[in-house]
Amino acid sequence: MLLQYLPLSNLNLADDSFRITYAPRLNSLKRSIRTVGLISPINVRHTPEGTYQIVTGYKRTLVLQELGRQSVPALVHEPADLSPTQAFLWNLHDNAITRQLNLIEKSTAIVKLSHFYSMSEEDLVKQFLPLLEEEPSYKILHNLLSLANLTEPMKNHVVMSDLALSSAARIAEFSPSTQQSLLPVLAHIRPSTNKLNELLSLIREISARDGCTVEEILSRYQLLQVVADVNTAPTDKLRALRQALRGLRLPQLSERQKQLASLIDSLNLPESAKLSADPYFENQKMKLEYQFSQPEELTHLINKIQEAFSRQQWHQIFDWYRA
Amino acid sequence: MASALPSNVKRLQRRSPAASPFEIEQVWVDRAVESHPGAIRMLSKLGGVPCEVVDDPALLKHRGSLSEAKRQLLLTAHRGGAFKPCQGITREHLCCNYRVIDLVSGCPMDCSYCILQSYLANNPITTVYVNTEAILSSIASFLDENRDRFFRIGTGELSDSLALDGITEHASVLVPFFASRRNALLELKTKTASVDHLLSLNHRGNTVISWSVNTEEVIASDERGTAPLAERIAAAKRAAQAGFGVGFHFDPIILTGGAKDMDGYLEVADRILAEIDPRSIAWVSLGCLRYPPELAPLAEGRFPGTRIFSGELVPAGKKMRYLRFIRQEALASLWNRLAEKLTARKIYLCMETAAVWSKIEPSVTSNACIERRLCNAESISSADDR
Repeated sequence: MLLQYLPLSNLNLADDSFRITYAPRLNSLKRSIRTVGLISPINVRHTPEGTYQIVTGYKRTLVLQELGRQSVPALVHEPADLSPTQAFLWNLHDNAITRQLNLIEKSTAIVKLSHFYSMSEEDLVKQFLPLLEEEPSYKILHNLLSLANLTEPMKNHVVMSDLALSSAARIAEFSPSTQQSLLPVLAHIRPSTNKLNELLSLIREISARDGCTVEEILSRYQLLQVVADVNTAPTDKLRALRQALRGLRLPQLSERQKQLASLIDSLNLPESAKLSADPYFENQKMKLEYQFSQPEELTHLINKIQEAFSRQQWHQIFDWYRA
Repeated sequence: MASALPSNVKRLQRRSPAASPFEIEQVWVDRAVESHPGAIRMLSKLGGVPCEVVDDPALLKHRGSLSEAKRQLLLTAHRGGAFKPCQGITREHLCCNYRVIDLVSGCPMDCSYCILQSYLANNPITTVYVNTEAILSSIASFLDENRDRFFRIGTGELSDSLALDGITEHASVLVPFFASRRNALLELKTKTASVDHLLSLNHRGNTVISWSVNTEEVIASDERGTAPLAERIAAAKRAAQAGFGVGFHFDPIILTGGAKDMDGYLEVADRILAEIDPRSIAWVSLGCLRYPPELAPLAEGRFPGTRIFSGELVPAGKKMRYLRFIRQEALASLWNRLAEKLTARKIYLCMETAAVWSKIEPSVTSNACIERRLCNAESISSADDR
């Protein structure tokens, strides 16, 4: 190992053999280097072909390049002293113990360990998932491996939107062209993980049921338009999209739910009274909730209930619900 | 863990022709039953299949490829309660108070909707219990202690009753056993057409052979390794002609397109009733697809092309089910079609709610009602069948 000042032009930045970094955020590092210079030298591996592979310090190199520096202090390792596997593990540990890796970086690490460095699934689960701050689970391992199927723009979306692994893995099940079609829709909404997973499941299920592509569904039902309106609040967009998809996936349920809501509205109960039923119409019981602090408020509710009774509306609801 | 079987056992294996249409690639034998006559008899049927004795069969329990596990057999003894109430008996549904005998756990057939995919996920190797004499002894005691009640008892809950019968020969033990009982009927439930070895058995009217049926489309797409519908009906006809009561289970009814998909099931009902004398039919059950939520991802992972989960399925209790209104419409149409030729007392809904029962057969309000109808149905005279 030798400390040398290497011209940046001698480093092969295209060689990503040991790299896991994806979509790095360089602003803080740039400010630091601009202020106090580079504190730690990077590590490079001198290949038999005479090039230099970056082992650790890819982000530092990018910043130096952006700052127009010509050279970088580097600890140069000869191939005999640092095997490719060792070099990769250096990079992995250098990143994993100093910062939070994003999902794509974790996936890249696992994919490389599996495919290029022939680590067994058991080793990946037991040794490397904890290093990546993930639970040692085969499901997580397989989900991380599946992210290799994401397109580059979708990988970027996963990182920028900080999607959960379960959501990213569901997206990875779609073909590249489907991912391309989904991206503009996803870019307009910021759902919770559960909501996003539900939306993705709905889309996939409609596609499977109708025997058409996701692209066709998005276009046929103009789902992009549902979320693209700049004047609509994000939560409203999400609600509209979810409602549209549920209506397509579960048309009879959606219609029944609408009918029930309309029947309940027609009772004209006081605002704070809430009549609810099993949203899936399985349980035959209904629940009426009402909060009140004055006897008059209770009387008001009773009157409203009686009025609805006299108009046969309660019977109508029960008959309809139990049909 | 393993040691070779005694040489005499291996010699026996080589003599016999293959006794199962299903490909068995590996047999494990629990050392505790190595010398059990049942194990030796079954091994003699498994000509040439690699076989190892294991000291602790629990070591074979692990999550693994179900497809591979289906090609393996473990011969062991049932150490718990092999005779018990059907798991369908819950407070959420009306059930027929059926009881089950677990003689085999796991099935060599591979249906996309099969609950065993999740139920046996951590113990997927097909397990055959060889200690039938102990199990039957406990059943005999139970029946003797409950002489005033009548029981319907089946073996088709954790497996197909007849799929492995060429190896296990369980049916030829069970049929005579139940022939000697006064307060129980045996049901052998299957999707095979392999009944010919049973036809000469003296069942004394106490065995019903039944078939799970589905549309030809569903059988072709989602019931791998099962007999085609025509063969099932033909086998039922042979069984009926041999004096057996026969049963049919329209289960699971799969409605990817909603209740309009019932046309296919009505056609199946017509075919059965055209071929089988209604007087021979002991019962017909109807049940729409239902499954625990964890089944769908497992099944879709194993069978990516399946469309069985495409219908309007919603959470209902601990399972996913078709929306109640869809079930009501679908079940009523099939019920009515069957009831044109079959007394309605022979028809029942499997694991269905009181609400749905009330729309189809309002007189049924409890488990006991269903039980009574079915137990009586068996002795209904031909005049009851139109």
